[in-house]
Amino acid sequence: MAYCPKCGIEIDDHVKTCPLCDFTIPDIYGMQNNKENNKFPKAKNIYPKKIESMRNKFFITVFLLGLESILILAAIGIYNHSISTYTTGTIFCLTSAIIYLFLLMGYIHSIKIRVILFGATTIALNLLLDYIDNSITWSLTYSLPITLSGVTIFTIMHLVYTKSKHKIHFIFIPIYICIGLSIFILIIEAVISLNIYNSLRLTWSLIVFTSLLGFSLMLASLHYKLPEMAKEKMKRIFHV
Amino acid sequence: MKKNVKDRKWFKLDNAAKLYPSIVSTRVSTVFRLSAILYENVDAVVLQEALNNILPLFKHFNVRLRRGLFWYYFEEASFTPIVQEESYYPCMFLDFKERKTQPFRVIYYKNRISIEISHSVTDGSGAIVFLKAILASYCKLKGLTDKCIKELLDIDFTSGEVYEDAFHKYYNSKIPEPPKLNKAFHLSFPLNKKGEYYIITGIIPTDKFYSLAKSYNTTVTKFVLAVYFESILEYINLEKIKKIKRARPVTINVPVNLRNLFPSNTLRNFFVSLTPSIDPRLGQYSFEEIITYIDHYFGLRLNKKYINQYISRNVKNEISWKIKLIPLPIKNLGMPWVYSHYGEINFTSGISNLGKVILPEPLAAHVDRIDIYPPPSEGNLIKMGMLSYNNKTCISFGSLTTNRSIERNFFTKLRKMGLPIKIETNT
Repeated sequence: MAYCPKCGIEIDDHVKTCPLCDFTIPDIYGMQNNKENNKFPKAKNIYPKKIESMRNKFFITVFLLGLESILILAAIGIYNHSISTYTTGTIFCLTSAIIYLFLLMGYIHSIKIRVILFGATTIALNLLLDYIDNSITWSLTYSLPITLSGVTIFTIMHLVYTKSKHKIHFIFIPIYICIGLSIFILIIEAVISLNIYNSLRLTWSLIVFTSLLGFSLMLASLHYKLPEMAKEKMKRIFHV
Repeated sequence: MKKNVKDRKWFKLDNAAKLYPSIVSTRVSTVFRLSAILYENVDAVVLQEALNNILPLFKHFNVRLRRGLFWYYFEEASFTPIVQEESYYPCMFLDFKERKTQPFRVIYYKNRISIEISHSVTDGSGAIVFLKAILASYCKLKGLTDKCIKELLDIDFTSGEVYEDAFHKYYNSKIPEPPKLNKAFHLSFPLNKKGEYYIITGIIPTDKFYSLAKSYNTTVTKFVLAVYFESILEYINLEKIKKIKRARPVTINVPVNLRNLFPSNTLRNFFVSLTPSIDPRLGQYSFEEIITYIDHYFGLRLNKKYINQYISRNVKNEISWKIKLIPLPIKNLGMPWVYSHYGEINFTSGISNLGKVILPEPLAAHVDRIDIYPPPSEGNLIKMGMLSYNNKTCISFGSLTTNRSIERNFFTKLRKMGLPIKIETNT
């Protein structure tokens, strides 16, 4: 029988820290690593199992519904001896939706791979939709650069965020989202203006960029707090 | 063999149980655990056979939950639950709304047999009878006793009384409802991960515990309640919770077994909650003051007349046509709010004391200890269950938070009063 030398309660032989006072129990008889003494099994968490079962049910239902819709559309097309552009587009969209759902439901653990596959699916979908009229135009000039830059920005932001090991997620996730989004919006307007005017003209994206960056800075300053001098000045200016 | 619908018995949920299936979630499982620790390791095959043998006696336990248009109901199950080795945290989510799941599970680990049962089936007293029956059947099959269950347990399972809804039996429509409760102080601790439930059990020699309670001229339940109040009040004082919103009265929910006041042999729920409350805003309370308050509180309220008000309120709500005619899916949406608003928001924590458990002599020789773990609750993050058996009083805290301040305060106080305590924990 082991006792806590500090608070005097009796504890099981395998216990390493007193559950009451957190005092480290000396392992005098080398009993602490003997798993035979454990009164409880190494408990599994029932929650992930439940979530996984619900996720599988949901995905299989949506997958089967999507597949059935694709088959029905294809069958109608074959019956009519011609598949309309509308039907082709719907089939492409349904197929992509199933892939998107598969990626969103977290069947692939690595976020990087998920984002790359997400981008690849988007590019493929846009190319196929664009090719319906037998020519590839907007998918190469608009969709490809925007999707590629979106994937790149997300990957970089995710990399920086994980490397930084921030602890307060509710502050830093919005900051990173805002920074990423502000850059992405600049790129979107750049792509649009380059295609329309053949020159770089940035207007509304600059407003969004400034607002989002300002918001990020505000959040960051809330976290890191203002310097004492600035605080004192603010106090004087806004005193009631 | 699968029975026809006509052959399968069905049961209405009792008055207290009607609420539970609607509020079940991953965290709020409504499942509590009773464990018997034997002197030797459990034989899983024999335990399964023991369970199979007793299930015909407990027809309203061996059921599956079905959805009616207005209420859930239980229907006799045509399948047998499988005894499992313990692998999850205690009192975990039991998906008894699924087709092939009974509202209880029987599990074992080394020398421990546990039943985890939803409150929609029974309360602590009913569960104790179920556990005793499993133990009796198990010991008989192991050749440890030659007496059969009916000889060991003095219960007439053929009488309809074991299935009765005793709330309705003692309902009197003329009795007014009890006064409404005020919102209580809540411990603002961070929640555990979903699916995790922490238990701390203190094992105390019953004779010494009773002597100590007697030295304060009170009973063990009231004594434990007083120590628990003091532990929470001390936490509030130490944490300097000064904001009025947070420093509400500390209210403990104490379920009272009504079988002692209103004769009934029912194995279904038959309890109401008394709620002693101390307001920290009124000033510091000494331990003696707390004991005096609790003694007076129970002295005034633990009687048929007062308790009848609670029975009346509960049944009135159930039989009201306005509530009866609300379709079940809408009830399911509203019940969690009702449970929180009229129940848990008014309590800081809860103490369930099953009292002294006595096993018949041939069984007692093979059972070292009996434990109760309270059901996890999101509204009351920490709850306590206690019972005494074989000169061991087991006080178990079930907690949905990693903060151990209250449990520490509680057991440290008992230790300082000179009680020898053994602590067991699943963390």
